[in-house]
Amino acid sequence: MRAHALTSAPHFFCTQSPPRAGIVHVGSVEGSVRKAPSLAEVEPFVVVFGQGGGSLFISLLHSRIPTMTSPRGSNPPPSEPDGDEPRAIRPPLAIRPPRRTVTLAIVVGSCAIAAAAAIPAGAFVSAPIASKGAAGRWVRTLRLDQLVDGEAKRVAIVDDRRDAWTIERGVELGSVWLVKNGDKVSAYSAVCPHLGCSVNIAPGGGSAGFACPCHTSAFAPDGARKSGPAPRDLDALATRIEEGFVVVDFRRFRIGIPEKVEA
Amino acid sequence: MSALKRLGDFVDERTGHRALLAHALDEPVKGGARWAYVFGSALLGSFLVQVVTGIALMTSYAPSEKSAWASVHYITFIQSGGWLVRGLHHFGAQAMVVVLAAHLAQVALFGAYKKPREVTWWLGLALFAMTLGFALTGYLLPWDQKGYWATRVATNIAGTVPVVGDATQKMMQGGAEYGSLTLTRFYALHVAVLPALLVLIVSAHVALFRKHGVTPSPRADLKRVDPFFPKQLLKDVVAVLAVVAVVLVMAWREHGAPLDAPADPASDYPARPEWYFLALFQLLKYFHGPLEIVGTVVLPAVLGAYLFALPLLDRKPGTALRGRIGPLVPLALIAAGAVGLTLQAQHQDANDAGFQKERAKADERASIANRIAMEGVPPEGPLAMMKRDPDLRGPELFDKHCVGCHTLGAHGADKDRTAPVLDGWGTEAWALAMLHEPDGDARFGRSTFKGEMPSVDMPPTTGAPPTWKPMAADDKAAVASFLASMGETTPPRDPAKVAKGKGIVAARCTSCHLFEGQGDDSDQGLAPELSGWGSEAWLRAQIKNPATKTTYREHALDADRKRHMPRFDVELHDEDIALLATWLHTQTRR
Repeated sequence: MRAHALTSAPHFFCTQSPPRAGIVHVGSVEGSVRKAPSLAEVEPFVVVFGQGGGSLFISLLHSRIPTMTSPRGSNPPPSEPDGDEPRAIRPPLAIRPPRRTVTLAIVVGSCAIAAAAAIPAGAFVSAPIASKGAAGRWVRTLRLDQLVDGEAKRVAIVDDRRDAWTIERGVELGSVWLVKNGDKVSAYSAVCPHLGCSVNIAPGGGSAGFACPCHTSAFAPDGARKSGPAPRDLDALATRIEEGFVVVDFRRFRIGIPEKVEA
Repeated sequence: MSALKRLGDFVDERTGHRALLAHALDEPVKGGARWAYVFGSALLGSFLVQVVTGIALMTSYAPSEKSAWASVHYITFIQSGGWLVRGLHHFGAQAMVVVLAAHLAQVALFGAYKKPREVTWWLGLALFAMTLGFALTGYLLPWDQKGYWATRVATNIAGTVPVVGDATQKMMQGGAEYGSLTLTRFYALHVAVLPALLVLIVSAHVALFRKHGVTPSPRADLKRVDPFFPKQLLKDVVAVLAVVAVVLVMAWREHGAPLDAPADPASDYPARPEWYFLALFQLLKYFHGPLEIVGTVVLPAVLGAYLFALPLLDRKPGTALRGRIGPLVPLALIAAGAVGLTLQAQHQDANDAGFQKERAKADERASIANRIAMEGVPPEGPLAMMKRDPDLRGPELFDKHCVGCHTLGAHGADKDRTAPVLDGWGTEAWALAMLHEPDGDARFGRSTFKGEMPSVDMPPTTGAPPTWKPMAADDKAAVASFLASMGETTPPRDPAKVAKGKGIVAARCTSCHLFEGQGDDSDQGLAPELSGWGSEAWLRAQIKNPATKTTYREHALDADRKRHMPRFDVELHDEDIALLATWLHTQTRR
């Protein structure tokens, strides 16, 4: 097994014939022959396509390569480039100029095709990044006289919702905790600022504060963080009393950060 | 050594990717690179575009009867980039059909199906069928009128196939009827089953192609061999680019892809398939009754069988076209027939005024549906949305219930009319005309009220009493201004004139009319209530039941008034009556 000198640079070979032998590949790894048919049958017309010194060229060799023999179908052992063998090959008849422009055209063309599909698809799929959470909205909840002083009560926030293509009337958007204190009512988002679980009343009843059932964050009756992994207090929401009803400014905030920032 | 080369070496040592790449790029192209060989690559390239855009669309599409149309509407008109992604997918599908036909023609002309490439050809035919399967299943997914009706025809055709038809149709539809399961099944076929099969068969198809290589034309110089890279690859890339460019331009020009009105099983719709199925559609017009199956099943099956058998029919060695004319004649006939039938189908539609009218109606409905859906679609789905829209529901109700007696715009025929023309009803001009000549043909002239209302400025034909004198022109104008003002929501009117008109109406019209519930002689007059005339509320009351004090009085439906407007609250819901009144209120003022 021998290889000619050009294999010291990355090279690929192919021959037109014999038809059944197919393609002679000389791998790009120095000196190794990847797949070589029985070259005893190879006609003297060999096309060598190679890559040398970073530029591409095609060389036409009018030569047998009688030295490159290997049993068809078997894995030839890697061979060292043999400096003595170039004599077996006559110099290429015509070495065409480097085809940088062609390669460039192919690469640019492929990129253009990929971009035509990928850019619109990428913009489409990443559209939600630009979306904003629903703005705050004042939602009427219970009558003030349905609340007991100091007893936290969970109420559903019911309003219209526009969600992608759907518009719904009177759906439950979430819930908030209301705590009455005289004629003032505090409201807290029922979403735990830790990782968004639904906050419940602490064991011990409506005046014992709040507890998150997921990761044991605990909050005082005024929403202040007492213990657990929550990064901030419960998110307080603005309230006002209208015609005897508690009206809440329902908003959502980003989860998992110490600052109270609207989502 | 550059870092890039070192990275390449690192990867190659572990994966051998360079040898793989070399294997791919060094494919010998016997007889040299040719433009004729680009179609396979062009198909692969456009398929990849379909994959990328299709996956993007999947992230927003919701396959259910209630949400499919709404989500496609959202993709097309609201989500950023959606129009382009859907446009690329829509026109990319059509481009694939075109390139597929070109690929098949090239392979047939070059004799590339011949021994030993029969299996490559058969796999190609399978891919052909699968591409049409993609087109068929994808066409239904928007669940719009166009896709719904065209696909129903296709599944019904499948149902007519002997023995297996019924089961096939039920399998596709997910039951005996179109419903929720139809869409989920078509979706599964379109995004999972067909793509998986296609990738599998394409791999085999390409592997066999690599095994046998291209089929050079008989005149090609066989001594010449180009490696696939760069000459053939360059041509292939240019071809894919050209296809993608055409698709982009079409998507751009149409600003996406068309979306018809939501599928409505109760509607009349001039169904047509996508253009590449038009030949098959046209074929169905020529086979009736028991012969129907010839057009639906037999001919397409014969065509398929011929294509399958082509390599077996054409077994003489050599690929010169001259020696293969016999086996290729049917293919030429099929191609000519398909083109001819398609052109004829288009020609017939273009010259069919009835179809064009139906089509225009459907387009109008589509544009209204697309407009009102910008506000969102209720969870009950787009049909519920459309039932609640006066612009859509109004004309339907009018055509069904009102055109027997009235006309309005293009609705109703004047020869059938026995009641007033409603164009302009409620406006100042209409009020003026009514005051001047109530029995004009467009007003009471053909109605049961003919001869009952006197003109205010023309003496009665039966002879005027000595006290009769015409109403002064500015009084008349004031009355008309006041009457028109009641039906207007934002009146840019002279308040003094309106007040004057109101005074005149209250004083001088109430011997016959009611005004704000009051009439002279203890409300004994028989003419309608004038307060609120022209408003939606007045219209609603009149449509519900004319025989009340709110409009045409208690005796309007008495037996001696046979041709009087009937009450509609017995056959129409309050909701429909309100929609009709809203629509009439705007239409009469157009």
